[in-house]
Amino acid sequence: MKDNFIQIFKLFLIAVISAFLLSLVNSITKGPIEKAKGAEMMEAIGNIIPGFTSEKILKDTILYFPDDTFPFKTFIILNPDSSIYAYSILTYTKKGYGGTIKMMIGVDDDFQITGIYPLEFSETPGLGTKMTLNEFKDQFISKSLSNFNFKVKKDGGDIVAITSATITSRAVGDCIEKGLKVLESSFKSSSKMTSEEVENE
Amino acid sequence: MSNILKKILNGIWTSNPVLILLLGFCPTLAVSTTLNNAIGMAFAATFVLVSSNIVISTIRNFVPNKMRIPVFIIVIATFVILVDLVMYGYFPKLHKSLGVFIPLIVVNCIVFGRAEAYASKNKVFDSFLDGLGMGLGFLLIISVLAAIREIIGNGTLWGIKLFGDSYTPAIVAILPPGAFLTVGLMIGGMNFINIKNNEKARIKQKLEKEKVKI
Repeated sequence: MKDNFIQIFKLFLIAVISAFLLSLVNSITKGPIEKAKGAEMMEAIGNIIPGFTSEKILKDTILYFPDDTFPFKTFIILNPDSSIYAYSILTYTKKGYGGTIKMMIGVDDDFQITGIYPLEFSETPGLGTKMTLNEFKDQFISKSLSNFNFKVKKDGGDIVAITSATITSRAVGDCIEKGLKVLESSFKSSSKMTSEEVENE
Repeated sequence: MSNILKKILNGIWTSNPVLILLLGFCPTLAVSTTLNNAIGMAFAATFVLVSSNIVISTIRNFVPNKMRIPVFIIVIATFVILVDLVMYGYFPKLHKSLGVFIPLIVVNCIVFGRAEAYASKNKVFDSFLDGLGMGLGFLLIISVLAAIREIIGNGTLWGIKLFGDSYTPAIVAILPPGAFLTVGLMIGGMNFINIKNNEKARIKQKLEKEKVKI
């Protein structure tokens, strides 16, 4: 009986020490991780929106889509005169080969894709991760919901899949389609929003 | 000094964790698609291996025998999360490309196997050397494996294109079957070298014995 208590106490002690150590490291790395995330986001926007310069104004908002609990983080990029230059949305899919894929997509004011940028994914290194390469990404440029079928060729769509990573390609299509739908449903009817309206968002 | 070298060499060659002990196959096969990933993975695993070996060896007399497995897991998991956080904060690119395989170091059999088989029974310094040797052995094998797979399967090494455009990479090499094939051939090659060496040593011994008789 006494032995058991000693064992429990020792295990408890070790768990407490490791928890303390982890919280210490967490507090040290919290800043850099946030910074890395923020830098990633900005890098993503710079990558997918051509002509994104420092004089453009960035407004962010969270959009929700019916039947979806995911908060779509959206950036509206305004010209200095407050007219809309482009949109960018952080969209996701759960159909990736390694689970969730999150990517930023950028569209111009006509809702045509200007670029995509995968942010978080756990696809197979060397195969599914090829979705980050331009050879694959470039096929989506200047495509929109009206002129492109976001399914892989195998399923009767227009996406040229990555060799031996069809599931990833399919997921990317799903992801982009969802993002575009959210953007169009939220902004298309009022795409000529004035700056005051955007302010109210 | 030679003793220290011997202990490290033990991990690199004599009882190489991947090719002789056949441990840690999951990360070896999964992350060895490009050299870059493989080396990042190997350094992360080596760090966890060395530090968990040191800690487990330090607390080996404090931990009751019945409790040792949960304690090992706690220690290993702590170091893995530590690596995960530090890597995310300071090397976000590498962290992104290794993805889920960083947390999976927790269940890497090399780490756990060495904790159980060596660190829990030996002195701190010896355990440190053992961890270092095993880590280097893992680094060596996973790098060679990844280099072979990247060259054959992708036509690149460290992301640099090696051949002209007419080269079509044999994609099977970076698919899972390619990993099994390459690792199998590597195990075969290693056994071949070891058997040859043993034979040579045996013949030498025989000759020496005969000389003594004469």
